[in-house]
Amino acid sequence: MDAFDDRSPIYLQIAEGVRGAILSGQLEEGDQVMSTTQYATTYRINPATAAKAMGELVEEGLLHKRRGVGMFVAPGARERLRAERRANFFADALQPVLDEAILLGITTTEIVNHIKGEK
Amino acid sequence: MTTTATQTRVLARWFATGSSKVLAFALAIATLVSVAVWALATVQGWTVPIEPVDGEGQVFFEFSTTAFGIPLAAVGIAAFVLSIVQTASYTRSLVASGATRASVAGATLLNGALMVVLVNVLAAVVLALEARFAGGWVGSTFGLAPGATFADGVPVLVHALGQVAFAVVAGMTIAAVFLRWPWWVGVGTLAIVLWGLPLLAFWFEPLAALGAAAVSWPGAMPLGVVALAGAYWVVMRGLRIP
Amino acid sequence: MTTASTTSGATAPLGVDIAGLSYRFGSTVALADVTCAVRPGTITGLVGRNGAGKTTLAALVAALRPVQTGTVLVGGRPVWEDPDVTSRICLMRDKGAIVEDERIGTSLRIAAMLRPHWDGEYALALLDRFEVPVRRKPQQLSRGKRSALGAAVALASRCELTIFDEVYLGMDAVARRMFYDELMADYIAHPRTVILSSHLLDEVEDLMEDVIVLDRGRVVAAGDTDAVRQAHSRPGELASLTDVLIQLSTPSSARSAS
Repeated sequence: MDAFDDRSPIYLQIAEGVRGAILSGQLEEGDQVMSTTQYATTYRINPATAAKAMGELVEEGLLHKRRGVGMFVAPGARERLRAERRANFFADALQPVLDEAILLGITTTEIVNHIKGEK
Repeated sequence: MTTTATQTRVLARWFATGSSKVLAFALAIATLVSVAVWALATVQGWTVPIEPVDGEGQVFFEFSTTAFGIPLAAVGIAAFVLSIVQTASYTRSLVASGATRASVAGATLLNGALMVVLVNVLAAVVLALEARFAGGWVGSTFGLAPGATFADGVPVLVHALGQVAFAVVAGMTIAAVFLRWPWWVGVGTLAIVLWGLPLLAFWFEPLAALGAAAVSWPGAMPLGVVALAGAYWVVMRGLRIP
Repeated sequence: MTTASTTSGATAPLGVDIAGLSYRFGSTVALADVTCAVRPGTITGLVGRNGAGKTTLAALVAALRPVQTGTVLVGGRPVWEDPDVTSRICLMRDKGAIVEDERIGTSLRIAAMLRPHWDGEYALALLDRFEVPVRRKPQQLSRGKRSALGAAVALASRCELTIFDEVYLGMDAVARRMFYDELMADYIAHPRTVILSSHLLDEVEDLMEDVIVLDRGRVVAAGDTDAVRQAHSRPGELASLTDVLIQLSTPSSARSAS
């Protein structure tokens, strides 16, 4: 209840959290993910909620289940996520920023210089 | 698999343990009283008759007793009271805890029967003691037996001890009535049975004659016991737990 | 789907199937043509305003009252007077299964006699955790401890269908948190079907996998909790069960008019 907000169902937030951890490298291939029981007791939620999240991630091929052991990050998960997000990056993440820049009258040169400065 | 039989058995055993303790306690206390009375009587040179109380239009008791009879009376009354109290105290909790009404009713009836048997056994002991020490049977029983003489011996004893069975079953039935329906249904029933009918009998000769005949018929008590047990069962079957 | 194994000792959670259930107290209609199901092994919430019919529904499921119209099946079997079913359904409310005027031991004894999977040690451990003095009578306990007693007995009964009907009234926030923790821990370790009826929706909505929403004796929403919440949400924000209830409950002005 404290770790999640009320903007979306908890299972979506859990799934998103795991995706983020895979992307950032916090969770590497072959790492074990928290069990549904652990999610339930840690966050005081129904284990079925965590199971729903895991189910989604398994369907996306990001996790796989080892019977009797638990949920593990699938091989190639990071690449798969990266590729998927890359495809959407320009439309979902960058375009809104550019729209905002246009609104504020920031030029392309300013943006490029900023990027060069950062790198 | 849980069945009515398994539930009835475990509940009956629990009831029986409780009843036995209470009846034993009543017996112990009353025996002490008896011994005290007997000692006093011996010292004072008394005999202790208790005159029958007679009154028209009311349920009346006719009994005489020696000191031996006091524990018997106490245990008989205790059985009656216990029948009411156990039913009133536990029925709802047991049903709410997963027992069926049939199981609770069965266990209550079985326990009632046990108590009647215990009182019977005690009565036999009292009779034997009286025969040995009080010079013959004085008839230390109590009951609704107008017109029966104590010279009638065993049949009267059976009849009189039927009173205990009747009282025990009546107790559980009236307690069940109070559990199932609003309070005024139980009070009304009691009023009719204890006041209304005898009053009617007082006013209408045929009814009084019918009553007298019914009461003096040896089969009346067993029939009454069976009828009340049936009534108790029917009341229990539809019991709602609020 | 909702049939439990009938071999003795098996503890498969029981599901509930209700069809066309109507119930009235005299002239007052408490339930009107209720049809719903509780999936076995889930924690299902039973939610509604006061007078919505939650307590009546729970009482009928637990066979505390005979059905008037409709059917109530638990584990695929009718509940009324079937000891193999009633012994596996535990309904815990503020009054009922606990013998108030005798020591707590009596109530524990009764549960031990009648509940096939009763765990006495677990009961004592729970009573200890909630600091309920075992040698007292329930009527002598404070409100919170009395509620904790009921909760402890219900948890330790390990009934395949356990219904908590506002059992945590009087418990303070800390005690309630302990209760939720104990409930979840035991639910995970010993799966059973749980029906949770509570007004404290913020605290329990994340515990419920499914939910049944009642209003004035009728089912107004039922199903996966997330789905029900999303169905009543504005974009970008997930409705809470309280929001759902507000949207689905008949306003009091309309209630008193009819």
